[in-house]
Amino acid sequence: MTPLERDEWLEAWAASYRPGPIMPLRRLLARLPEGRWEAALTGAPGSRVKLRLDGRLLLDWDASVQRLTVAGSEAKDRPFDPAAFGELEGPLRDFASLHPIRCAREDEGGWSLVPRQAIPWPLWLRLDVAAAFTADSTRLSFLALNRRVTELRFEGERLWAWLD
Amino acid sequence: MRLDEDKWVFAGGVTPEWNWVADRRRREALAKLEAVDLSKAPPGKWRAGLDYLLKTPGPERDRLLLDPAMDYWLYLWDKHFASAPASESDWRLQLSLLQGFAAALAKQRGDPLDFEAWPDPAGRFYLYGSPWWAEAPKGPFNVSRLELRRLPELRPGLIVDEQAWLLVHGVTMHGLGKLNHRQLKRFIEVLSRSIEELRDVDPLIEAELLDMTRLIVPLATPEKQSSVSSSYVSLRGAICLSHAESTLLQAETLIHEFCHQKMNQLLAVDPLLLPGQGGQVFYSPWRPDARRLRGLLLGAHAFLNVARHLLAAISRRSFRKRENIDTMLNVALRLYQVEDALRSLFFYARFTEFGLRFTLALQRELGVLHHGTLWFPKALIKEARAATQRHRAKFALHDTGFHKSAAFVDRVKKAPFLSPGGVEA
Repeated sequence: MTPLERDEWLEAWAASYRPGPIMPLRRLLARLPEGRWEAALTGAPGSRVKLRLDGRLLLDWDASVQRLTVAGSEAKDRPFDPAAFGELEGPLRDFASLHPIRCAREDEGGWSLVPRQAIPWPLWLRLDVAAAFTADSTRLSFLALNRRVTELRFEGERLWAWLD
Repeated sequence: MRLDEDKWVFAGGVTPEWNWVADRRRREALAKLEAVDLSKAPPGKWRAGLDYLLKTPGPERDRLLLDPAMDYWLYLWDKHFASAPASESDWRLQLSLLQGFAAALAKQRGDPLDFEAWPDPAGRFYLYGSPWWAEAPKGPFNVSRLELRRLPELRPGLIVDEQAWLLVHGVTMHGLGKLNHRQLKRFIEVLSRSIEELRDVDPLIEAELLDMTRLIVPLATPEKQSSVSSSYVSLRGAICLSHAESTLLQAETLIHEFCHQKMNQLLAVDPLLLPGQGGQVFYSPWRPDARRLRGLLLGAHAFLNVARHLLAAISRRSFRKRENIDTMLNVALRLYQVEDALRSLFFYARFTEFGLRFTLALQRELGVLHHGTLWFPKALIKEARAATQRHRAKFALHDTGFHKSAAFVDRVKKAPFLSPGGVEA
């Protein structure tokens, strides 16, 4: 997303979920340089949103406690092997056969799967691994439109889908 | 074997390919029976029935393995006995039901019915896979001592029943018909004529239907509805439907449910949709609630077949004007609904190689059928198109294949810019 698209997206997210004041986040965004932005949608919508600049600078805003976390990316990429994921092996193999996975990514907060090619949101939702998002899929569709999922992130039981 | 989609989109008849698909199911059923472990069963002469079934190959057993009762017995076995503890009474019932299959096989072959069993919860014993049954005494009893009675049949090998425990335990979507003798006789008469009329229009689908269908279960007709019907994945070869006086309506219902059954058998050989796509539910042109991609595919197949049959029927017969108009409207509606379902499938689904050929063939046949409606009154076509558009506007997310949830509609009313083109009505 361009910064303008990012701001429009944020406005749509705030209008949809009414998370609480987001001024601190907006003030920080106004000071940041131009770049390529991504936004993350979660499978359990609420007062939290994530934005990422140029794949490196991560903003994690929780409006319910007015906490903004800013961090650089320290994730390590490794080859994707479904057999390493225990009971998730079957569903991840099915996912990989439909949309090949470039790598798995790990850091302190969780782990991610990065598809070789970004997956359009409506095609993303049909996947078994996207089941957590489908309860709110109609509303999320208006945030995601035809954007593409670049990364699926697992943080404990919470799922995030990064959109370009 | 490379499946030929043209034999599955519409009926191809009882061909070597049809038999090959049925044979896959038969072999799977036999393998499951061979894996049945009686080590946890309560004391009783259970082995006799299972051993007789396993050691008596032949066409009679092949037919038994494809009976809907066998399908359901194996489903119950997998669900309740294969890996979970079960009560003694449950074991006794399950194994007595198995003795029923052995007894049916023995009766067909002229072998002694020397099996021990307990009655089912209704106090009966059925020779599943045959039209024979008996009132049973308290167990255990020897089957050879029972006085056998015969269930009514629509055709040889196609029984009509709503009481056999194993056959109706899984019928949960609608109430059973509870028909008296006179009502049952009328139900069978109309269905029998429907099947004859089906043969006149399409002998291939009649042949397939009679080859696969072994059981008709009469359902109760709810108030304010003309008829109801259902079929079940765990009861392949059984069609459940309520009575209607119209042979055309009954034929339509038989075709619809038979198509689901046929697809359930085919899907066991080729899933048509690649695995991993069950996450989302989609707008269904036939229902207010949403359906998965598989549901859209089965619906498109069934209603395309229904539309084709109805079109052929009205082209051949002269109905009363009202009935003709109703049938034409039905055909046109079905075509637009199938079109919508196929649109969503092509938007979102990834298919197996055969699945893609099959779905493209559905689309092609839909195109052919549209030509078949060129002689329909224009106002009628317009009404059908408008009805499907109204349904879509009510239940679909704009022009996507997604279902529109009520909660979202509320949100859209409060945040107009989320709705392209303005506020939702």
